This record gives sequence, C-alpha cells and structure tokens, in this order.
Amino acid sequence: MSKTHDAPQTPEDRPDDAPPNPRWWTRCGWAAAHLALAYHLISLAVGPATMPPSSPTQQSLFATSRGYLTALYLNHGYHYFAPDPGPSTLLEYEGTKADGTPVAGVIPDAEGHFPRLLYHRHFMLTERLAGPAGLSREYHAALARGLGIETGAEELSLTILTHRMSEVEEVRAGFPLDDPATYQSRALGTFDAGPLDDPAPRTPAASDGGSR
Amino acid sequence: MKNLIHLVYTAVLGLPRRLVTDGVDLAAAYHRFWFAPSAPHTLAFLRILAGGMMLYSTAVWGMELEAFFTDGGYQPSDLVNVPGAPSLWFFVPDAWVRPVHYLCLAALALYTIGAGTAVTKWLAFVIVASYAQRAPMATFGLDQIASFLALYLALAPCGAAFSVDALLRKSKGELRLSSRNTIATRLIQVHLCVLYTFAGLAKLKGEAWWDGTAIWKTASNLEYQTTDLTWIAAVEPIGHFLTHMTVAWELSFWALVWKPRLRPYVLAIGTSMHLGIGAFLGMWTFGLVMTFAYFAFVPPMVFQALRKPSPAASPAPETL
Repeated sequence: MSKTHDAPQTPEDRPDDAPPNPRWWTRCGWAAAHLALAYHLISLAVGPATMPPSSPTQQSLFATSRGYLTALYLNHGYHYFAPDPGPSTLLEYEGTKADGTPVAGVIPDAEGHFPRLLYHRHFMLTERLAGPAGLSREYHAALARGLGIETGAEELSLTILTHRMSEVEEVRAGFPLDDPATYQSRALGTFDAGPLDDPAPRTPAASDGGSR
Repeated sequence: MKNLIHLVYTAVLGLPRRLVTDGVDLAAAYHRFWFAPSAPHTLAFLRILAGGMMLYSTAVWGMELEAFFTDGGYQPSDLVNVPGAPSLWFFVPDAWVRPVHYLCLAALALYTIGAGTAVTKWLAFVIVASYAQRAPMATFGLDQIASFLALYLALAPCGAAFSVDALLRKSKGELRLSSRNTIATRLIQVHLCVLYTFAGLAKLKGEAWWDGTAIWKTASNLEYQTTDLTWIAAVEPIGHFLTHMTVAWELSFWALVWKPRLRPYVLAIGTSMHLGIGAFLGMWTFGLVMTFAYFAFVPPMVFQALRKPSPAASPAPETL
C-alpha cells in the first residue's frame, strides 16, 4: 500500500486481472456485485447478532435482512452449546398397537436409532421440548403421530424427561450418569397416534410429574 | 522552525491526497480479495466432500421419511411452515414423498461426482435447504453448514475439476480462472469467521464457559456422549483448560486464520475440536462437515497437484 503513497495509481500498477479500460456497464456490474456482497456480509453478521438479547437498533437492522436470510436458510444464531450446555430433554412413550400389543420406549433411543445421525434427528425433536414447543399441544400431538408411524401404535401416552448433567462431585462419589435422581418427568397426556384423520389430543394437558 | 512549519504545511496539504491514494489502494485490495480470478480445484474438491455428506444426510432422512416429512408425522406443515422459508417439500403431496426423495438422492449423487454440475449444484442447494426448512424441529449444525456450503459452491464452477463434467469436456486442460471461484471461496472463509465469532460470543453469555465447567457439562451429557468421559471428573483442570481454550480459539479464529504462518495451527486446533465432537459426542456428521469447510483455506494449487499434469492447463494463483 505504501508503494503508491506519493503517486497516483498508473495503468502499470493495476492488477493483471483488471481490464485496461472497463466500460461503464462493466463498472456498474462490479458496483452492483460489491453492493450485493456488502448486503450479504452485513446480513450474515446481523442474523446471529440479533439473537436475544439484542438492541432495538439491531432488530431494526435485522428487519432488512430477515427475509433474505430466511429464504436462503442462513438465519442462524450459531449458539452451539451456548450460553451454557444444558440438560437433555427426552420423550418417553407408552401405548398400544391396534392388535393390543404394548409399545413403549424413549426417543432418542441410542440403540434403536441407527445410524447416529438418525439418533440426532430424533434427539433434536425432543430437545425442542425444552423451549416454547414444550408447551405446544399441537407439537405434542404431532410427536405422537410421528411415533405412531414408527411404532405402529394407535394411542400413546407421552412424558417429557429432563435429564440434568451430573455434578463432578456426584460422579466422584460413584453415582452413574443415569442416576434416577438426575431425571425429572412431566406427563403430557394421551394422544392419538394413528393416521391423520383425528389429530386432536384425546385428553387435556396433564400436570407436571415429580422426580423419576 | 522554518523546517517544522514546512513539514506541518506539507503534511496537512498532503493528507487529503494520501487519504485518496490509500483509499484507492484499499479498494483495489478489497476488490482483489473477493474477485481476483482463481482456479476451481479447491471448490471442486470441497464439492465432493460436501456433496458426499449431503447425500449421506439425505439418505438418512429417507430411513424415516414418512415420520419426518408428511403431514401425519412429527412435523405437520401447518406447524413448521414459516412464511418466507421456502421448501420444495411444502409442494409435495404425502403420496409423492418417496419418489421425490429418490429424485433428490439422484441429483445429489450426480452433484457429488460432478455430473451436470451447472444444474445439479443449484439443485443441491435447493434440496439441502428444502429438507432443512421442511423439518426444522430435527435440524442442527450439520444442516446449517451443509446448506451454506451448497449455496456458495453453487456460485462457482465447482464442477470444472475432479468431475464427470471435466472428464467429458472436449477441451482438456483448458481450465479457466474465474472470479466466481474466488468469491465462493472467500464467502466460505468469511462465513466460518462469522460463525465462530458468534459461537464464541454466545458462550460468553454463559456461566459454565467462564467457570470452566462447560466441557465437563458437555462430556457428562449421557445423551450426547459415545465414549465414557467421566474420567475428566478426576482431572478437572483438563476440563477447565479445554473450556477456556475453546472460547479463546473461537473468538480469535477470525483474526488468526488469515495469517499464513498461524493458519495451519488454527485449523489443526479446529480439526481436533470437531473430530473430538465426532468421536466423543457422536456428532460425526457435524464434526466432519465443519472440517470439510476448512478446505476452503487450502489454495487450489495444492489440489492441482492431484491432477494429471497438463501443459495446456492455466496456472492458478493462490487464493490467500
């Protein structure tokens, strides 16, 4: 950069890739490319910067990028294991098939869901229950129907299990990571798990359960 | 005194001119950073890796397609259809889910081997983003990374090398340098910088990343772990060190990765971290796809050495 401090840039100083005398429309093209690039880069940073908590200024800036980021599936916070690694949220189910055969299990299921990516897909479904989806009756009913497709069950009782991580002291004292004291349960009720004809839950929301 | 006045006079009068020349230089350097033509080999190699991961991920969706992608499953469209988040799956009737899925797999396979890349590279992005937008409750970092890789690769002629298209091309060896290769490479690099910066900043909001217990909390999460890491409880300082190092590395990535001498170390630490996530937390797909993205920092000339030397091939400058 210091090379040209004392003299204006000459044609000889131009990079090899630059055309000698770009036409006006070429210049306009480059200007448009740079503007689009700037918009993309700003949007890229504004998206995660607007994850709560954020200022009204950030939010108003985000309003200009929301549609763009959402359309391109770029609207992410990148909050991996942040702000703190939290407890796991699982879903316990129990019910019957049409022929009366009992069905029971937990998703995700480390042994039943293979390969590991399929396990993680199921794990993400239940991890959402730790957020607003945990209160959504529609989502609970949808989980029951999805489980119905997987298990063949006609009706399922669902229970959210929250599994906190063990403290260092607990592990040192010899408690296993799956110690029953590390689980908390919340019954969601019984849901129709059959085909879509009757998607409504059969029972109202159940009250919170105790420790498991 | 006279000399001093002259110096100040010259400096003040010369300042605007210096600002202009500096500005022009900076603009030219910025333009070259994003648009100086480069060879396609880095992106072509990345296309194979990322395409393979997209193919695998999509194939795994197919193992329970009806449960994940029909209205009678986990995610009915009226529950997950966010305005402005397009997905081809919102237009696919439940009865057509399987045939469309197989077509998507075929398109991704063609993309990975570099066949019809001018079309399949855009299809790959549409497919990866469509699966993710249709099943948002079951997505995680893998889908985010795979999607932006597909998007940026689509901007470049990523099928120009290491591909069926290249084999079938009549004019062997005539690989043109293109600005589109550079901009796609730069976008991947800069996107990684943004990603790690915000991943690090988000961690600063949490107590566990300050008191050093975050790695323990992650490692002791029974649902994630695939290897027993409870031994960390016996040597807590290791957990503390890894916790602080993770934050420091993420927050400094954007600055250090541009230094050629530091880059190998920065990327080696990142590779260790992501492969560790794969080995110990079972998220091989996420760990690998992050590591694949690092190849954007490898100059095309490194990959050109993998090709059979061709006297007619154009020279390719480094992208960094």
